[in-house]
Amino acid sequence: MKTSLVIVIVIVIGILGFLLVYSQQHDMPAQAAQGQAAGYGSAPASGGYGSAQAAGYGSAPASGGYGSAPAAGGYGTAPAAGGYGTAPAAGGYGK
Amino acid sequence: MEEKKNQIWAFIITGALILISLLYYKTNVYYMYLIAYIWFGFAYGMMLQYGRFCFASASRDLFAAGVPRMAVGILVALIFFSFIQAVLASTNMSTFHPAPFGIHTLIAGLIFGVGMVLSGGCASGSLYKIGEGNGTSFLAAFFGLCIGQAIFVDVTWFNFLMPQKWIDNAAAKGLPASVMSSSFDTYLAGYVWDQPVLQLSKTQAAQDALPGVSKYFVADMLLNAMIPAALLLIVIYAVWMRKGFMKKRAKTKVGATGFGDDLAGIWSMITASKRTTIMGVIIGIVAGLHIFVMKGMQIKFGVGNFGELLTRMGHSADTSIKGTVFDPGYWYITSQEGQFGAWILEKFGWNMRDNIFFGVNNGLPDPWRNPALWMSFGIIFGAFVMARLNNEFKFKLPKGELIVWGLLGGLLMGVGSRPALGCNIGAFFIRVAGGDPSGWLYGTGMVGGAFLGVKFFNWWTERKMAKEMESF
Repeated sequence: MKTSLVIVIVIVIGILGFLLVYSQQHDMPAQAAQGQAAGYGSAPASGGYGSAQAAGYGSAPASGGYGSAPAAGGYGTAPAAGGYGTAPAAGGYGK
Repeated sequence: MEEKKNQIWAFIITGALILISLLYYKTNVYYMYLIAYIWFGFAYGMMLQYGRFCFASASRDLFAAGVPRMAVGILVALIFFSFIQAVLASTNMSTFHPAPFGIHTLIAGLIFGVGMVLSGGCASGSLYKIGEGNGTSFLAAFFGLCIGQAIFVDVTWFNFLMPQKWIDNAAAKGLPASVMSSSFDTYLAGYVWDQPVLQLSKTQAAQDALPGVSKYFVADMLLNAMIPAALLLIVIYAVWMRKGFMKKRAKTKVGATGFGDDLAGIWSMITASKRTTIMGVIIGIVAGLHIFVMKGMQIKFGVGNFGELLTRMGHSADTSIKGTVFDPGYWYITSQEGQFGAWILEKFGWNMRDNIFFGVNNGLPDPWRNPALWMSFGIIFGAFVMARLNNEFKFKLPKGELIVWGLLGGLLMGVGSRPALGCNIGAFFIRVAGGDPSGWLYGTGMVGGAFLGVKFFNWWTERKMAKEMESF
């Protein structure tokens, strides 16, 4: 195998290895913690559909390739006036 | 001289990506999430190019030339990946999501299968071939998978195909009219969302019969992935390899051939191309590792979707109305390319957020803040580096009918990947390994479509040659 290829493979394995270790250290990084304390973590200002994570659309769904459509109770759990109608069936698209 | 130039290019691209990663990290630690996608994409690109992993090639080689090398490699990768998926699921470290199960998956696979044969590369194959300098693959990916897919989810051209029942069902979901504008919206909300979602380990039968984590290994891994994949290997051997192998075997062996010889034949088929098989094994392992890392990142940052991190960083305009962006958590190809196409179309004044696909589910982040899109770029760059280092890079501009096949095939792939919510990777490879039977439905359609595509090409070539002979 060519030396240059070996070097690139070692770099990639090294980076993936670092990401593996980094992702499993579940203490909140300082910068992230500061960010949240500074207000990053709060729900964004209401803008038509309400905040992303406030009641209305429910909390952001777990990652899912299919966009995990409205979880049970999404789009307005028991819609108040001005809600988005009836709640879709639990699960739905890609849940 | 050429080799030296190739090495320099490889190091420039690798170095640039390292630099980009450092800049992201410096900007905000949350971008570590996106950096993981970049480098797993890069690794996929290197492996795909080295192993020449392509579902279109697998089908074409098998149906047109009777060469099973690539199909075997894919099945080997699937077997290994299913084991890793089961381990991850048993440790609650999986990001896998099964998809709605229905006939739509089969039909979408069929369309996608025809498309990948016409364009000469599947969704992942087209990306690594772009990295090799293939212009036809670029046409297929850019105009078909990016632009074509984005247009497909936002137009009303297919309203005449929507049954009244779907329209009523969609209306009953109570989605705001501002995100319910296209035929695809009616299809999603009126049909797909009402279909059952299956994962064998989550069925009542598996829950009752298989205690603890064994359900992941028996139901998802063995029943849904390994046994069907092994059966397919046997079918491939029986149809395409057995006759030739046994003929050779009979010449070198005293006495009649038997079951042991068939096993030797299957093993010989699997190991015939070490390069492809070894890459199959490694791809399976890396794809599993990718899931593990993404799940770890989610736990680390306390989120379930990168959209939440974008919101924390002040980029809520990038996200959907649910606060999400497309963030599969594993190897995926087409959705992010649709996002890229939509982002471009928005620059031309097309409102791409008034539909469910972008407006409700996937958001529309700028490309530099789109984690899954970075994975696709990573695949291209990884393949580029590998091709350069192996002196296999060559610019090939599409000419003549290749332009037509690239565009048409790409469009069919784009259209075929949306109704099933995925492509050869997201709708087949990942789902099958994760215990979702709809993956096999998509795979069946895809292989059927590829078969039709190969037959069409044979007919086209023969017709063309006959015409040329006439005029000769």
